[in-house]
Amino acid sequence: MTVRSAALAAGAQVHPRSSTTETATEAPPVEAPPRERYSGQSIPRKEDRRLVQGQGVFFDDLRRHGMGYVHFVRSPYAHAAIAAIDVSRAASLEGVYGTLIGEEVAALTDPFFELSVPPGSEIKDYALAVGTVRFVGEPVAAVCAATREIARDAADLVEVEYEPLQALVDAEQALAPDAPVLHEDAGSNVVWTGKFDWGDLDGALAEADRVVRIERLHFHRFSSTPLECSGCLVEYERATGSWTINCNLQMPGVTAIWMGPAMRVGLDKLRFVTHDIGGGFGNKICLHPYYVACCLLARKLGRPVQWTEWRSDQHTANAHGNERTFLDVVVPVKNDGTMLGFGVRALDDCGAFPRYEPLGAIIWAQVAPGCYRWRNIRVDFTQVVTNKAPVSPNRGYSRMQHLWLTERIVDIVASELGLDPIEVRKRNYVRTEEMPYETPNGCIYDSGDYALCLDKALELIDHGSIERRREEAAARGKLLGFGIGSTLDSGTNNFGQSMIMNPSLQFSGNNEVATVKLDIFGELVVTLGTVPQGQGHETTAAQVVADILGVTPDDVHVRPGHDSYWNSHAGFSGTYASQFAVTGLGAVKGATDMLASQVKRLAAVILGAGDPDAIELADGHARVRENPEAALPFMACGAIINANNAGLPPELDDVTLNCRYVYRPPFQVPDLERAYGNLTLTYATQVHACVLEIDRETGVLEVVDYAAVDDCGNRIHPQIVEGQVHGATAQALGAALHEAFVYDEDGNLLTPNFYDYHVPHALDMPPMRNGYIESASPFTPLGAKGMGEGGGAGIHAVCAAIQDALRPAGGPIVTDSWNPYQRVWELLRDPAASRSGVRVEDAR
Amino acid sequence: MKVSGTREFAAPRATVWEVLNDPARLAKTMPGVQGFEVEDERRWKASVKIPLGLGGLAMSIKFEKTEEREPEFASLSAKGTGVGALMQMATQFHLSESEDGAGTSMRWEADVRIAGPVGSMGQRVLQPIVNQQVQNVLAALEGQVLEASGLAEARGAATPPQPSGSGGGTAAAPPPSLDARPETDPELKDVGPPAEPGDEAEPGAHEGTGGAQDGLNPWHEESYSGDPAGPTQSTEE
Repeated sequence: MTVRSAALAAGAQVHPRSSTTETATEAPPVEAPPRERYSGQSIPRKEDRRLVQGQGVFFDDLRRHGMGYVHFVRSPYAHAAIAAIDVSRAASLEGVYGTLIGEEVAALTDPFFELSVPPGSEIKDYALAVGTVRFVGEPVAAVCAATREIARDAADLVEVEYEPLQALVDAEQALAPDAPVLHEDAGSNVVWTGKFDWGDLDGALAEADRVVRIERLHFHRFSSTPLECSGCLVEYERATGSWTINCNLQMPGVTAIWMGPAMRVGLDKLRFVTHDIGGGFGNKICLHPYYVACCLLARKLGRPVQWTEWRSDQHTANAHGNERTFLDVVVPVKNDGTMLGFGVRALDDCGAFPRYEPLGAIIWAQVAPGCYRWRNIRVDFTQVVTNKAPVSPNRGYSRMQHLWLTERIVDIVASELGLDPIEVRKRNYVRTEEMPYETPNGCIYDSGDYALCLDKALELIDHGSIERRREEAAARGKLLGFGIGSTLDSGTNNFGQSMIMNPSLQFSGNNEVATVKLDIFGELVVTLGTVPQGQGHETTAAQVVADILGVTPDDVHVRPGHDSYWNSHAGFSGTYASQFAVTGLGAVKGATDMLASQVKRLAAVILGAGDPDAIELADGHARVRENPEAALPFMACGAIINANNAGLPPELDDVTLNCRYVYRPPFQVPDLERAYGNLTLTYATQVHACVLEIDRETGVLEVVDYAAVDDCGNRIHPQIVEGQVHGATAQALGAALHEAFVYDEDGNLLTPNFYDYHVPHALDMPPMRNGYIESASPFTPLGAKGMGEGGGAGIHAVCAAIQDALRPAGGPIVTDSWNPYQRVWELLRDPAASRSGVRVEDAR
Repeated sequence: MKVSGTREFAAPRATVWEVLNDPARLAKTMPGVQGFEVEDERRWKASVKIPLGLGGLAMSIKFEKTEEREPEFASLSAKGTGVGALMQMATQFHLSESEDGAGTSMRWEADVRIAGPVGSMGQRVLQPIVNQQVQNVLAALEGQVLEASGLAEARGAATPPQPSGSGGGTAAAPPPSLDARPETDPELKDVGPPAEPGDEAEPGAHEGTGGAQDGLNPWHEESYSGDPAGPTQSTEE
């Protein structure tokens, strides 16, 4: 049985595959939708009125009587022993409520649970540094005072005596026998190491006409920059021993699992409440150390405490993206450009503490062959700690690094063999007729047409005119280049992949929850287990509910934010990893279908229609299909069940009009022995094309034309999708050209502010052309796929365009994901240096 | 950051040695010294204002003589703390008589480490500042040596001017306050005394039978055994 027929046999809802719609080069107009069909329309977002009017409520807008403000005292050293901490001067400052230090944390809590096998599992990670600091900006103590300013002043009075230790800032050095060991308990700087071998790479190398070898590629350390920094307002209730944590966390389900056992309290003692959130991007997943410190302070001081992260602290020490070095890349190639796979040694730097890691050491396997039909893949993966800020999942988490590698392989092989990168891509892309396609490691690419996306991108950028534009640019002294990046945005994790990394972890599958109720006045109220940070969940959930119940989105109230006391939720609840359109809306659809069924059953009884199937839902009524005059308004349905229910027949006993649904994707535990299985449910695609011009003298470059084509299956709200593509592009351009966390040999961050770390703003954005196709996913309730993490395509498109532009200037090879002007200048000045690490061997 | 160099003094080695080992004289060589206190013959403290940024960087520095072999070698360590910066320095001096026997040649090296936000400015910013300060120190040291050898007046060399907070190429601006004043929120005016740490045995804190109270994590296989014990041991026990 093929994968596809198995999927169909398993009851997967079938949508037309790769039903391709015309490219839209402009945002679709907002217009009156056709009746009863809101999904697929760019209706006005429900959230926008309050947000554009400045009426949004963020955690920092909240005040409580007598609350104190927390400021963290942070390490100025990358690596040092803490000889002594004296808080007495700080505590005696007028207005200071109290302090917290690592020794107290170690006495009151246990270390956070580590996901790794040894040696990583032996690392002890607490809310505040205990005994040793391991990165610049690591919280060492916390001060709570009547105002932010007093807290900050008092923090300066905390005297910490450090004994500096040798800093470790390089992943390759972390493996050296004489390297300082960061965590004595682990006894090694290695967090996790593992070998993956799918297919037969040795056989492929023997079969190849040529073998391309690339010594070293490097994906740099950067992060996304949310408008709103992290923070919380924590209230401790002495009567019940419970905390209410008003916060801007992205993934409360998992955070609760980290915090509860460490604090030794049941999860019902930790109430997470979110309101509007100003962007997450993964930075707001690993906030548990800060939240534990605030919980301890709130209990110790007997008053609410509030912490708002300073921008420089967010930037320096919150969460960076994984830095990854790819060594000894080997690619077997046929003369026609067909690649048979690749082998690589990957070395990942997760900073000072693993926290969410080493999940990143396996997450990339969701996209092991990238967009390509490669069947033979060998990856030797090692993750190490260094004296840098800890990483957390940054938009495109772990797949972005790996997809950049696969794209770099394609372009380097194409240039070394003198082939056209477009033709090489098309020759190697997984084909639409092969969908659903099973990768060598058992992942199932659900649907898509990568070659068509590429064609659309080429059309948008007018690829036919590139050579003419190149000549025009040359006449002005500029080098014009064109580059492509194609990426998969895999979404809806099967957390069972964590068991490949640590077989004893009891952690698999996925789930999300929604409730939909019809209340006494006919209100339709939806609660989500998810935690939106700007993705428009209120709008898209309302679209789905409206379509099923025959009402308008205006009739549907989706409660903003999340409250773990009142919003039904599950262990994986949150907003992360490109999945809301599948898990979140899947739960909304399930709950709404349940409600629709109950309303029909009720109406069939009340209207005497007998068969619930004779009832249709339209215009806010349940009515008899054959006799629309016989209709019951939704308000009447709500009133009957909630306030007028005497005499209802027993067959309606289970009708509550308050429906909860848990959406659970159809996942299996992977085959741990072979590291084989379906690791994500959906694969959205983005293909980006970039045209840029480089100044020959200075290396300064400008992106002059840009196109991005997206395929995320059925689009619920095209404008939101397009906004995500714009965001991914901005992330890509920032990362590719400007944003890098650069450390000196002592572990000082040399780009600690927006002067040295340039985050792109509106004026940095090139003219953008957007296109799309829709290849409905056969595996999801709405044919939709999660999306929003396609930035890897853009990072590579820039790298490829730089390499293309520099062909007439000695043909240097781009080996780093970060190419600011000075690096482009270095490539211009010494092209041979970059070429020395690449060679082509004749295998025959 | 490592800096090193050689300096010739027109004075006997004993004189140079004496200056290098006299905290009071040494103090006069440092930039922006505002206070100086000798703890004992091996340890002394100084408060300085290094001309860096607006208003200068105030630091309190502790010095300790770590090794000496009179009259040829001495090493000194210094630890400084200030708002936004921590400084660590290890210096060594090697003194040798010049060939004609009348002068002294000093070979010196220093390893300066600066941490904190100031350190984040990085070597490209700090290196020229450190170099400039080193030159100032050496010039001042020469003045002290000449003074000690009684030659200062004879040669007409005055003690070089002390670099002050306005030196080093930064403008002499009054230090502006970077700290905003507290909000005048009436609710926050009643500050009250610092709260005492509460009794950790909170009412209600230990009710329920969930695994989290035992430190159990649902991801850990221990949670599936008949008699689970937490994967991490409580420090309370």
